[in-house]
Parts: sequence; structure tokens; C-alpha cells
Amino acid sequence: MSILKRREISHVIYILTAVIILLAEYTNLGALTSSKLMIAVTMIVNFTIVLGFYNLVYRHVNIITRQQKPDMYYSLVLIITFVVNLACMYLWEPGFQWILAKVFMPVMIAITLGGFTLITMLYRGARVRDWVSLVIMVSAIIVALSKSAIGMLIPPLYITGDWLLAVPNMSARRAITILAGLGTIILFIRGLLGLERSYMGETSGA
Amino acid sequence: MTGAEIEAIFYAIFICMCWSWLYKGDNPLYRISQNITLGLAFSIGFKASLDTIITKASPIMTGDIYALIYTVLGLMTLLRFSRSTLEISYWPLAIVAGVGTAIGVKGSVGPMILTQTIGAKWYGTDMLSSINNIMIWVSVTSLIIYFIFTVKRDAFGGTVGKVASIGFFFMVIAFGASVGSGFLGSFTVATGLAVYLFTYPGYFITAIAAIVIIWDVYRESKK
Amino acid sequence: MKSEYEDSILYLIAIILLALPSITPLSVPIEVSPETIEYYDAIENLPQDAVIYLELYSGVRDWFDTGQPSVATVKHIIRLVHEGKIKGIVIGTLGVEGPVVLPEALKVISESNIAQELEYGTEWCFIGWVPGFEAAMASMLEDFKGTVVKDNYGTSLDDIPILDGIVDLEDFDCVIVTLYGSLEIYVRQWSGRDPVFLLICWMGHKTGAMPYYKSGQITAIMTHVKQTAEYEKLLGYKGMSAALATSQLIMQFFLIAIIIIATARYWIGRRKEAE
Repeated sequence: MSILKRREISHVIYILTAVIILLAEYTNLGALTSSKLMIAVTMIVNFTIVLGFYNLVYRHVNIITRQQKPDMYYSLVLIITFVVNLACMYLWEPGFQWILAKVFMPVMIAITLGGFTLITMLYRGARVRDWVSLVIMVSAIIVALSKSAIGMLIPPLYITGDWLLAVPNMSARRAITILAGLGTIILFIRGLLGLERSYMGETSGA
Repeated sequence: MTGAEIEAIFYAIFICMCWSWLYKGDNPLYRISQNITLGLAFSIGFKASLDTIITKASPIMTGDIYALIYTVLGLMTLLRFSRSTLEISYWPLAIVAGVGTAIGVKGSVGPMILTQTIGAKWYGTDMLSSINNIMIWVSVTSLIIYFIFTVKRDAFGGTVGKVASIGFFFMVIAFGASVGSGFLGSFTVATGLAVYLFTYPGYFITAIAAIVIIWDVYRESKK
Repeated sequence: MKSEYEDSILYLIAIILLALPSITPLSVPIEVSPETIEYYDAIENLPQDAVIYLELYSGVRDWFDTGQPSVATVKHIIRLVHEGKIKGIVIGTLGVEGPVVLPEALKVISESNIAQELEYGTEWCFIGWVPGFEAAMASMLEDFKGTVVKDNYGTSLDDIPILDGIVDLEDFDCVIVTLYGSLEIYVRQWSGRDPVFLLICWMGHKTGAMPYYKSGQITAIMTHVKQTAEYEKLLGYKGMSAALATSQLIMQFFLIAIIIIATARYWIGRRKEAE
């Protein structure tokens, strides 16, 4: 049993899996195995999601049983909502539809506080103090106005905004995209060498 | 009251509960709505995950060996609850990590690197597009140099630093464009919701909320 | 005025400004831009009997952003199915947040009225949430029916006529992705392949999608609010986006005013310190 507990086994599985996928992509060898591995991942992910839910519910039940005020009242709200909605989904479809339309939709949309934090951020921090912040603000304002409702009504504004997106912005994004692609490959090489072991709950090796 | 009007009242109630954060920060009404959100999201997620597991595992009954393998791999993740079997629970996660990294690499080489470098041209159909294309190439090259920190900025008589600063200028413009795009996207949700607060029957809830806020401001000012 | 009320007053002004266009007849005329025509034409010019895959990766919170263009796109496709130009549409979601994105997909389906307009199974189908995110994306490119297995209502994909002949994702004629996050993941897995690749996203994603758009990996992009209002105008119906576009414009001026005030406060403060 002790040989099964060796960390190297996980590392070998990681390398083998990655090699099979890439071999199938570039040489068509092992295409069936590659396809089955990807489907296996979709199944494993489901179990990890269920595991995550278990951990979350366990944590909140813990808070309630330890009577940690005032968090226990909020945890109670969460557990009750969880149980009631789950029961409705399995046992009473009209109840679930009612909760979906009248509770889930408004609360999920409203909880994001869309954009108000941007107001505070701009009010406290948007100061044009040097050429960098001036360029940022000018390009931000031009792009924002050119892509809003008045953009097409003022052709020079629209053309400038379009040019800013299509040339300077695009070129910077292209460079970042190329470097991000290279970074993914480097991450893969680090994984092959055993320097990246976060999937085993460890921090990076070097 | 019609169904739509009842729905509008619920919208107004939950909007006021969530947006109470804007007035009082972290307060009981906001925390309650936060936990309702989490409870509902978890229950929907839990049911769908469970249903998918049952769907993908049910072919075992018809002798599908692959369905059995998938289910065994999934069940192995649950071995993490015991210290003696914790290491074995990492095997399916190693498969997930291996597949994830490999398909990431697969997708990076073509769309993210090769297509970006091969497809771009130096020339265009007219003078303006040719200038634009040259500008794109200059900025892409200089920005890549900007992000390579292995070579010092004062190498080759300071040339590296000067080239990198050209890239930095374009990056600043790109950042500005991002910020501007952020302006455009920030308030759509709030716009859609604000309507519920100022139209029938939501404005009754808004009026109650306004009275509560005014009373609270008055009470705070007396302290 | 206490400083802790400054923010609340700004929020109150913002809320009032946001609600103005919806409760008054304030509106800005909508001019259709070339990008919207490009997106419209990309769908109009699909080959005869095309089958489209619509990926709805966004949650309920994006209902006003990407939900509206998704509804408009589905209405456009419904019209083309009625005209006999397109065979049908398959709707699904791989949302990384998990099945919590399902209600948004259901809302798009109900608002576009697709269940009443088209026949389920032969003209449209809904495969629900598919777990695995990027792994599922890659897997769908190899084996679509093996990855998804059953639709949202428990029917095997082999029994759904619209999916006859669909072995992998490249057998679809068009893939439309409604995006909330993770642009790179969808692009690196699905773009640059046989199907026409269209994107529905926030304006912020469009800035990031420009390299892929300019290199031809993405055929056309539909952004929220203003461009959706233009699209709705092309389709000949008035949706929510026209009112949202006016509010959006008002908020741009509000934010510009805040930036000017913040900068002025900074420089006045610096001058006072210097004195």
C-alpha cells in the first residue's frame, strides 16, 4: 500500500495524461484514449463540485452548532434557502419556478452592485497628475464616448475610437496574447519537470 | 395584483436589500440577501452536478466499461477524507491537471502564438493601412521586449530601455481603452434594476426605504 | 457634509440618472454601425440548412448585458428557420461557475419565445449545462455526443434529429459564444476552425478580442447595450437595449464629470499645500 502513496505516481499520471493529449493532437496516435480522458475529466469535475458543496455546507453547519453569533443567523439563512430550494427542485416544480422568477433572478442580479464601486474609485483615485494618467484618461474617454450612443453621430469621434481599438490597443493585446501563450507552454514544461505541483496541494518547487 | 406586479415588488425589495450596502456598507439586510444568493446558487449547482453524475454513470448498467472507469475515478476524489488514502485521491486530480495543461498548450500554440505572428502583414491596401500595420509591428515587438526582464534596460547602450518605452506607451493606450470599455459596461445592470425602483409598484418599496434612510440620517445627526 | 455621506450622495445621483431614460421620454437616435451589419450579415449569409451552436456562458447577473444580444440573436435565427434558410439551433452552456448559469440560459430561451416558435428536436434543442469547462470544450471538438450524452430533459442526443450528422463541434456551421469571462479559453479551443465563430460580449472583452478579430479567428463581435440596440433596430423590434443605451450615455458624462472633479480637487489641494 505504501508504494501507492508515493507522490511520484501523481506526477507520472500528470505527465502521461498530458503526453497522450498532445500526441493525439499532433500525430493522431491515441485519439480514442485522448477523447476518453477528456470525457473522464468532465466526470471528475462533477465529483469535485459535489465535494466543494459538502465542504461549504459543513462549514456553515459548524458555525451554527458552535453558535458563533452573529454569523450563525446568516448561515441559518443559507442552509434553509439551500434545503428549501433543493426540495422544491426535486419535489415541487411550480415552487422552484416561483423561487427562480421572484427570488433567484432579482437577488442574483442586484447583489453585484454593478458599477457603483467604479464611482468611488474614480472620485477618490482618478487624478490626472502626469502624462501616463493623461493618456489613460484621454483614450478612456474617447473609446467610451465613441462606443456609446453618440459615437456614430459624431464621425471623427467614432473614427478615432475605432483607430485606438484597432491599432494601439490591438497591438498591445497581440503582444500580451503571444506572451500569455508562451507562458502557458512554460507552465507546462514546469509541470513536466515537477516544479508545479499545485494539483497535489503543494506550492511551486522553484 | 397581477403576477408581473408581484414580481416587480419582489425585485424592488431585493434591490433595496442589496443596495443597502451603498448606504451602510456591510449590514444585516445585505448579509441576508448575500446568503440567500449563495444558498440558491449552491442548491442549483448541487442538483445539476448530482444529475450529471447519475447521467454519466447510468451506462454502467448496460455494460459500458468507460462509464465504470469515469465513476471510479470520480469516487477516488472522495478518498481525501481519510489520511491513509489522501495520496490516492490526488490521482484523478493529476489527470484533470494533465488534461487541462495539455489542452491549454494545444490551444496556445495555434491561436495565441502562430496565428498572431503569421497572419499579420507589413503592408496594407493603402498608405494609411500600411502605416497602421508598421505601427502594429513596432509596438508588438517593443512590448514583447518590455516584458522580457532577462535583459537589463541599460543593455546595448540603453537601446533596450528606449525600445521598451515605445511598447510601454502603446500599453498605456491599451489600458486606457480597457478603462473606457469598463465605463461602458459598468452600469447596465444598475440601469436595468433602477427601473423597478421608480415605476409602479416598486416605488412604494422605494418610498419606504427612503423614509428609513432619512430617519437614520436624522438619528445619526442627533448623536 | 460628513465624508461618509459623500459616496452615498454620489450613488443616489447615479441611481436617479440611471432611471431617467426609463421614466421620461429621453432617448438618443440609434445609428447602425458597420460592426453590427457585419454580425448581422455573418448570420444571414450562413449556408443553407446550417446548424448553429449557441454557447450561453454568462449568469443571470448578465441579463441586461449579454442576455439581450443573446435574445436578439435567437430571434434572428428563429426568423431564418421560418424562412427555411437555417435548419436550427442547439443551445448549451459550459459555464465554469457551474450549473448556476443555467437559469440565464432558461431566461434567454423563454424571452426569445423559441419553444413556441420552433419545434423541439427538429429545429432546436437545449443540451443544458456541460461540466468540465475547457476540458469539455476540447472534448466536444473530438466527440460532441460522447461529451454531452443527453439533453437538458434527459433525452439521448442520438434521438434528437437536429443533431443527426453532428459528430464533433466542427460539424456545426456556426458557433456563437456569449461570454462573461475567460475569452482566451473559448478562443484558443474553438476559434479558427471550420465553423464561423461569433462572439457576444461586453465592450471590455472586445478590447481583448481585437487580436483574434483582426487575424480572422473571430468573424464578428456583438457587444452589449448600444450595439445590441442597433441590432434590434436591424431586426425590426424595440427591446430594452435602446433605453439602456441612453442611460449608458448619461453615465459616461457623469463619470467624466467625476474625473474632472477629482482632478480639480487634487490640483487645488496641491496648490494650497504649496502656498
